[in-house]
Amino acid sequence: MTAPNIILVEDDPPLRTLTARALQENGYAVRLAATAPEMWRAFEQGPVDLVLLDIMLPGTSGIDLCRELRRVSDVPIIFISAKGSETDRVIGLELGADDYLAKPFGTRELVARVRAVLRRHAVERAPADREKGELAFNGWTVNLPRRELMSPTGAVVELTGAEFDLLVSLCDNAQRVIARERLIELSRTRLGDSSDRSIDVLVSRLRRKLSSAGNPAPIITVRGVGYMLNTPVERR
Amino acid sequence: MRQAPHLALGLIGRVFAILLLAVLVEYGASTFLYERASQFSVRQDEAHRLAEHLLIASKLIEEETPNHRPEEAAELTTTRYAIAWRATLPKPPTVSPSLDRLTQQIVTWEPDLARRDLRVSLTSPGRDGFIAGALRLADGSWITFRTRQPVAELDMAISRILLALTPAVALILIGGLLLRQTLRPMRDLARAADLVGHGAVEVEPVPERGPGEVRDVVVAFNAMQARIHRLIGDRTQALAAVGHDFRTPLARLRLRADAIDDDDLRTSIQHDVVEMNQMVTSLLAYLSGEDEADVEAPAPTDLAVMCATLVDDVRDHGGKARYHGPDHCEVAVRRVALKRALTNLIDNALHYGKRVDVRLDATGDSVTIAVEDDGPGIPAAERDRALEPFVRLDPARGRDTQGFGLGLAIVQRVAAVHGGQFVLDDAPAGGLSARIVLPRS
Repeated sequence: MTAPNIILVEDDPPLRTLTARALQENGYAVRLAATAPEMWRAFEQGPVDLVLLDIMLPGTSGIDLCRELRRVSDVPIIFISAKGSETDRVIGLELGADDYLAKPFGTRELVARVRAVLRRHAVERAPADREKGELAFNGWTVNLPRRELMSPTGAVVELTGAEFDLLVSLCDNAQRVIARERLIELSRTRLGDSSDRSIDVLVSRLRRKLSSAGNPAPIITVRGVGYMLNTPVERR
Repeated sequence: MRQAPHLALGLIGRVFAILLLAVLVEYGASTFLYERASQFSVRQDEAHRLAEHLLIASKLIEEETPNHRPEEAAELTTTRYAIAWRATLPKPPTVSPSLDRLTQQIVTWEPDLARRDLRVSLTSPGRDGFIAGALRLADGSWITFRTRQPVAELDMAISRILLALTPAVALILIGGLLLRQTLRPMRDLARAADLVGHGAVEVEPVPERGPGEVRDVVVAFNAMQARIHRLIGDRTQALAAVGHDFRTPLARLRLRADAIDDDDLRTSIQHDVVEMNQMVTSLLAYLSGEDEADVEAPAPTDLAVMCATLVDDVRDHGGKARYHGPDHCEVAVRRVALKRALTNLIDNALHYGKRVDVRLDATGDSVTIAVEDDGPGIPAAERDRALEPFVRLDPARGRDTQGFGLGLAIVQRVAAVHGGQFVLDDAPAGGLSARIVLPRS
């Protein structure tokens, strides 16, 4: 198996070197770029599995670059930002970035994010469908690009990343039973620290959040097997 | 704001008063002099006419036989004077001040009347006074007379003064309004000065109008205001840029630390990086918090779920936390800002106490979120100071506190942006209860 190819776009030379080294030590092939034109050159040099993109670049901003990149390619993108503000995160994800990494980050966090995004990308090979539009059930709306859940009355309902991924997995398999093992597998593609227990905890938290005015959440437990979202899901 | 009404009353009021006084004195004095002169001549005139009429009446009536006298008297009654003949003198009305001066004037004009025992008095004194009187004829019978129109001399004088003052009052009102208009730029200026430094993001120059002196002040003020805002803006931006650029070397340090083999050294350097990053985060949140909160539009948000999620997060990281409240509570808020505020409060609670209780109480018109800990709390006397930025209350504990002491200042600001309140109080468990009260509209 060949090493996944990563393009790293970062304008600070020492940080670029350090990040590249961290990635190479974990088995990734890294091509370096400091500016937007350098990135395009690296992009044409060979296959690309993932782009790590600093949002603050001289010349073109990372956000513009991300938009241009999305126009020509479906390659997974991870944003790196020193701002760490919620607005940046939302903009990045809306533009089609797959994940977001705030400076400063450690080697472990970096590698975990890269691994998770690559795995998720490999699992969900339905790019046209992915990360765009909304899922709707029982009046609830799941906004995929913004990673937001809206209640039937239009209020934003806070979900953690793991809860959101779990909900999306349940929606993708609506009205079918998903085995607990499969859910654990799916949630591992995210950050890789889920145990058996935490899936049950996540489900109970999600149930509480999805209940409304005496109506229980439409997630049912199938004893000894797994869970099921017991309502049709509409994609828009 | 306390200055503004003082200015409006003070300056305008004073000028108003001076204007009023000047006009009053001027009109008062001239009216008085004029009144005295005209009153005199009017009275003289009246006295002469009455004297002549009485003289003619007395002579004509005397010439008639008593039988014809009433008819004659009726004939002598004009629109001005009512004349009647009586055999005896009727009793004069009880309250009828005699008019000695008028009697004097009449007698002086027609000395013939002097021997006729002329009596002149003012009937029904008050608003409508009539001059009435009697004079004796040669045979001992009497002629009574009475003016047919009220004279009301004193009333006339006062109403005349009032009449004369009407234009003066109108002038004063117009003058006052004009003055108010003229001084309006001053009021605008006071208002604008009051806003400087209170976090108004937009610098709005005061319109340059009004009289020359005022305009000069306005121009100078606008320049000063712009200078202050530029200074604040520069400083904020510089600090934000520093904080921001700080994160790249921090990221380098963090990655370099991973290469250290010594476990203890690596962990402690990683810990330092985390702490420094938290300081940068709180500084950036404080400096840009205002703009960000202004930019973020309020959107309906489930606050109960937000609180529960934050509590879950604490538990996932091994902390002791509980959420008490309804499962759902939807309120329109600035979500990012409010979440940051709650995160600050929960981090604080866990820093000073061992466990944190988050309570949400929703009533019809407000939502209260209380974050309670079981730590030492904050003495009532120091609570105000705790809300100030860059203030840390625990010098005795040394430098184990993270951040710059901005946590509560940020919360305070977020509460204010929502039109709500932030209150520090004693928690039932003995620690601190930090409450955000948000209006529900």
